[in-house]
Amino acid sequence: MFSFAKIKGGIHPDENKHLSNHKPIAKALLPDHVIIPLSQHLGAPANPIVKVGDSVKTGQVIAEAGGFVSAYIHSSVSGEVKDIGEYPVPHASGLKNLCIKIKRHGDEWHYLPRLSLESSADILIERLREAGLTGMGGASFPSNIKYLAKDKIHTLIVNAAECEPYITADDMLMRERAEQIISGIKIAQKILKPKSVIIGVEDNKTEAIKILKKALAKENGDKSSGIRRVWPLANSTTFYENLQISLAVVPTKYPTGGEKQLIQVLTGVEVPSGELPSSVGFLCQNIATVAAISDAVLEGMPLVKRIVTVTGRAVNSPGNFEARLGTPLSELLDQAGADQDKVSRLIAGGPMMGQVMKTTDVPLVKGCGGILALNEQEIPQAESSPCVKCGKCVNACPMGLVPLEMARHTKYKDYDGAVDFGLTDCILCGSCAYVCPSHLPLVQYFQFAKGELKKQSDQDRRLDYTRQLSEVKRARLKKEADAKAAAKAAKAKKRKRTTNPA
Amino acid sequence: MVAPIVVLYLMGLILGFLLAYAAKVFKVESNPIVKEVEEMLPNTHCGQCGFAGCGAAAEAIVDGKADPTCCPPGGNGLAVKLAEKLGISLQLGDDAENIPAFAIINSDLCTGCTRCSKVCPTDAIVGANKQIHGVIRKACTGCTACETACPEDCITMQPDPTTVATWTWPQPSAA
Repeated sequence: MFSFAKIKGGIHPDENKHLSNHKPIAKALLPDHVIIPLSQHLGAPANPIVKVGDSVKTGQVIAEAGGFVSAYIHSSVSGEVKDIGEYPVPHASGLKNLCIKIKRHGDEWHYLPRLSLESSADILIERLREAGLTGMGGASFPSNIKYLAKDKIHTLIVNAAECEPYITADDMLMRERAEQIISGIKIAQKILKPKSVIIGVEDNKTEAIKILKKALAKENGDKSSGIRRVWPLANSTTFYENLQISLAVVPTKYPTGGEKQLIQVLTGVEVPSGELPSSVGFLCQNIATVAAISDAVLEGMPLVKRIVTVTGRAVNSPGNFEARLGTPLSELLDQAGADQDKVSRLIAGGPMMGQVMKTTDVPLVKGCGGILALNEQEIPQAESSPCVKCGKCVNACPMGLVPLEMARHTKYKDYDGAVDFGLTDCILCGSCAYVCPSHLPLVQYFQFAKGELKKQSDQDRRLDYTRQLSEVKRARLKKEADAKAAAKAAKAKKRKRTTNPA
Repeated sequence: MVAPIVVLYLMGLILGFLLAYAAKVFKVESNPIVKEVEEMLPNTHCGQCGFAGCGAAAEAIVDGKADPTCCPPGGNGLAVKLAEKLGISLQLGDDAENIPAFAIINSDLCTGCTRCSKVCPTDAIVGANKQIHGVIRKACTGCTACETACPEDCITMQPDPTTVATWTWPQPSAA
């Protein structure tokens, strides 16, 4: 049923996971105040439903979804709403955005009613919505929207690849909370009724694989046989089958954890350009989200906390923290013993795809799995020089694009030319920039080009809209003028009749 | 009495046929591209380009009397498309010059005279008589028609502030 294919390209950066992959998940100290951005997800920002001065409980809704693709936002502490205003957010621009600031007094919870596996699929999907669940792997796509396509899905893929260097949050989650993950998968199974479920893990997480195997065997109810090794596969992908949940161990390579890449590695199916995985029957969900689904359904706990790796060589004791959303990164860095003098770059997310932060005052958000405080040695210092057309980037690109040509066209502002070489399919993984011997800022070129294209299409849409408006206005003015003229004519006629009754 | 009527009638008939014939034979082809360019323009007839409406601007652009960049509401995106359509080279200004501006009404000074909303080509200004007016950002093309019409000088044009939602990456400076 499955065929296996290696992903194209990819790279093997220094993993640096050893800094934090032996540290159990520690509960981060509850912060004095939290700053909760209203736009932590893809889609429309949430609309606040609390006022300054309101007292809120942990888990209480403080902002409602602002559209179809949007998400609920809950208070992550109990206390008093201090302000609804602009605060720095973890965004590449370094700009401020609308947030709700809450001063903490204690930690009193407000839970949603508990549901069970007996609930219907629609009720479960609705629960994902009211618990504010979004993908926790980085893109923060509202989960309930993904599950609405349930009839098209034949395979659920649980993404536990965690291919970004440094980050170990998902690894620790698997080691410590395998049961929670499995109950989350069962809920997803209940909604989707997929033919198969595959957990994809990279082979560098040996401990987590062992524990997951054991948990799956227990689930099977047949401890003696354990998990059958189904078949030895090409390129060292190992496949374990347990009734419906299988565990696939895939070779460590960046970016195997990309949605399209993982689907390809596990099943050999290539998601068509410009399409979502659901178009070919797959739903890919990050493992942290799966665990959060279990909390939301079985415990009635909205998404108010997540596991985040605080690491880097400017941190004295790197570790994995379970922290409340909205906690300022500075507090988490303090708890991990960050040495402010040594920090030369602060990144929210992984080193490959994360964004550089200008300040530690930004809050933790739903999609942030790592906080990196890197010292000077960890940052590439090389100056960039002109492209030598070596083609290494072409070999490294996991999407099979031609980065050097995309960059060349972008440099001369020929964005359509860049699109011809695959710009719209680029996932901004940074593999090309990693291998580039000229140290070209390739990802920045593609970010820039994508931004320009977006600006252009926004302006086009706007132009269409205003054109329509002006046509409507002119039509209305003409109608009014016609009506006036007609009234005048009628009046004149009437006057004529009265003066000339004959 | 009858003769002049007949003569004039016949003259009219003959001249009419002559005119109809001439219209067919000596027909001057109007440049179809003008029509196409006109359709690409915003058609709000705001007059920022200095021509009387988008039709005149389209003619001027096709004749080479005006630059494709002359339309501020269209911005760089439109200029690039026009240049492509007409096969001419383009001198794009600095992006900063082409940031679309929006009308902002100072509510302290506005008397609610409705003059601005009357001249707005896109109905972007809302407000009734003697009520303070407001601008719908989404619909404003920044044509400045209201700025000229306002007797209180309370309308200013301001560029749209960059937010997290509208921010895009800057061009990399390296090689």
